[in-house]
Amino acid sequence: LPSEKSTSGGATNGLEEQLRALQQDLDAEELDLFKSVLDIERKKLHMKRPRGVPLEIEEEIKRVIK
Amino acid sequence: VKLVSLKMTNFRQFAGEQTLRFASDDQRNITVIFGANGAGKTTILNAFVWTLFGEFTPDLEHPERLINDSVWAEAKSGEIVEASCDVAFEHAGCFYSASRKVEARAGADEPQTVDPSGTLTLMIRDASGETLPSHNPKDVIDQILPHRLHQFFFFNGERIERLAQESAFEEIEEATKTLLGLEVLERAERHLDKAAISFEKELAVVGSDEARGIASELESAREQQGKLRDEKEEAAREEKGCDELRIAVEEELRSLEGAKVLQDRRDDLERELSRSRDRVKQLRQERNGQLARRGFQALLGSLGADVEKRIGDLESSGELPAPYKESFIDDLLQKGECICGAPLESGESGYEQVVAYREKAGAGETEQALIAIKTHAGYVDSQRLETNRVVMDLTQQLGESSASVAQCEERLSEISRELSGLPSEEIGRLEARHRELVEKGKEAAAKRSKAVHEFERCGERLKDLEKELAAVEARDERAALAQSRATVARRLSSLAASIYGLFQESVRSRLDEKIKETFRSISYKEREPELNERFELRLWDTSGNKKIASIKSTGENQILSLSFVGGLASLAREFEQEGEGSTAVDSLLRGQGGIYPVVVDAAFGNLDSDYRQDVARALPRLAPQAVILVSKAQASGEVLSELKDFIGAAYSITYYTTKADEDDDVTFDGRSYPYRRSITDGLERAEVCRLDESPTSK
Repeated sequence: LPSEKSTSGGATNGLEEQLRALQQDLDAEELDLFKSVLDIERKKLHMKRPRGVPLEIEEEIKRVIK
Repeated sequence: VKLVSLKMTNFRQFAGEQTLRFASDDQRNITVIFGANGAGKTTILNAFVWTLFGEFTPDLEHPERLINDSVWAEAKSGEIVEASCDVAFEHAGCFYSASRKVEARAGADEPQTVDPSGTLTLMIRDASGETLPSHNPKDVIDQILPHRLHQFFFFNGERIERLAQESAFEEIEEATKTLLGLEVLERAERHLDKAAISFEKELAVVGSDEARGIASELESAREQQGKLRDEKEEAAREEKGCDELRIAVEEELRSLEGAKVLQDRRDDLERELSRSRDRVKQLRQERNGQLARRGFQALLGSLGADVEKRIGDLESSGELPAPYKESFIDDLLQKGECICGAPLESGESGYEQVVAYREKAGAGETEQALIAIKTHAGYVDSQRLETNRVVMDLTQQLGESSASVAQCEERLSEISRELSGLPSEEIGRLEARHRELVEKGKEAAAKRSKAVHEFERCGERLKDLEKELAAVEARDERAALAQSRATVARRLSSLAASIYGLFQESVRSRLDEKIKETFRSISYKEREPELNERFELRLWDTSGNKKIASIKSTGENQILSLSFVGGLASLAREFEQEGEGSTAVDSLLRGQGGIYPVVVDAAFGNLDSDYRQDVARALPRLAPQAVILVSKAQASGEVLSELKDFIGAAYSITYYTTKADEDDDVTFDGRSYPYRRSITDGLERAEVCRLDESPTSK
């Protein structure tokens, strides 16, 4: 998930290592699913009362885990 | 975001149409607007907040009177009268024009009561030059200028000091969350949990007896957790409510002649109490740390000294080092000859004697180890004594600080008794209310702590049950599928929570650095701000050998809060730059960031002249664009001389008053402009005047 580029944050490299460690137990399919979930959330973030997000996520999980 | 212009039409003090254009040049990024008290500075700040967010700052009085009073008074009965504001801004290559309007039908001599929410429209001109209306203007604006952040970028300088107070820490945490885009992860965690629950419910229907049992246990534990969450939130709200009411009562007491001195003393004591409590907390943490790292030494007793003595005794008696080594005896036995030349044969007395010597011989490794132990034994003992001294010292300090807490509490009770004993009924009533609120606040705090503890325990139980459920073998294909979906949802929810924690800490520490940087560029005192792990904004006095909590004046609170705003704006810019060119997921995890302008009313309100100059020096660097609303007195010589190279646009709000002989001018760049004018037409109003046009004199 994290990009390789370094940033002005200084501590960002350490952060990326920790992020990688968090993700190492997940397989590629699960990681893709996680990205999809974040995309769904991002699209609905600025809606005041987003409807059906849990359902949409549920459908996405069903689509991937068959 | 770059502010381009603000147009106000019949809005509050401003009759007719008034337009301001803002400086946005990289070098000259400041727009200064001069205005007398009541002329309309706060109205201009609110024109932004109202147009963009449909809200007002807390210091705006009578928000139901948005239409200019003179226009309202002159309207014929039944006539529709309106007021509106238009904010034009640029963002990411597009031009936006946000407009909010209210209208009301005038009635004969009826006071004005309009619904202040008004109607918002947003026109967007994209890079192709096409202008189209937005169908969801509120969402679009929220995406560009997050609602949660507006109070940090559109604010009253005199009131911004509240950010340094405890009641604002939650807002600070929320703002940081928005800045980083953590809401996405927060929601993902919540929604993945819901999805997991749904799959677990399915499993409860189609799974084995064991799975069904665990799933139903899970369901009731979750219900219990929901109740506990409500309880802790309710208690937190109650606690906050009590605090706010208590602060309001204290404010009232401060305004009463007879109670002012005692209330001021109480304020000092409250600060001292807070410092002593912080000190107790810090000392406890320090002592716990010492005990966790070195506490085992206490269990060693005099072991170190005993070992040292025993080895010393062995050395004195010549047993250590041993006169001969095991390997020497083994060699003799192997050769079958003693050093005296006598043969050594198994079963004979000489042989047996030499074997017996072997028992007394020293092993090289053991002796080396004993020598090393002797060296360490002395060190262990001195360390034990040192730890003992440090812990005793901390305990003594803890005792002193605890005594200081008790003393402060006792003196606070005395003040409360003194206030209650004053002859004024009003003071007595307020003090009784104060006592009641303090007690209620304490009860709410205790209730919250209990609920938090139980909530955490329930969370642990839930995790265990989830693990148990994942371990149960599925009965058939359908159950297996529901189970793996539930497991995946749980794993991803937990990943979202972990990344959330990681990012929150990362952004907090970066923001802490930015605040320190900004503060250093403003304040000349030896103080260090800190945004700690609990998102509390603190100020430390670093002038002595030890870092102690600083006694903050209103001015210092203001500087601290401005440093927070500057730090936030600077970090937002960094996030924006880091986000450029990264993939969608990267930018999601990196936070949204943004380039935000600041609009500050009364930026120098409570500050003395030194601080004013420092803030003036910091303002051009606080944000890429700043609009500053000041009275003539606030923007005295040193302020303008600091700002002069950065001012790209300047305005005066000319206030037309019906009071006679009130004419006054503001001088800018060597010229005078109308600041206040007495009029005889009876229509009090304000107008804006650009300060490079129509001077009253040169």
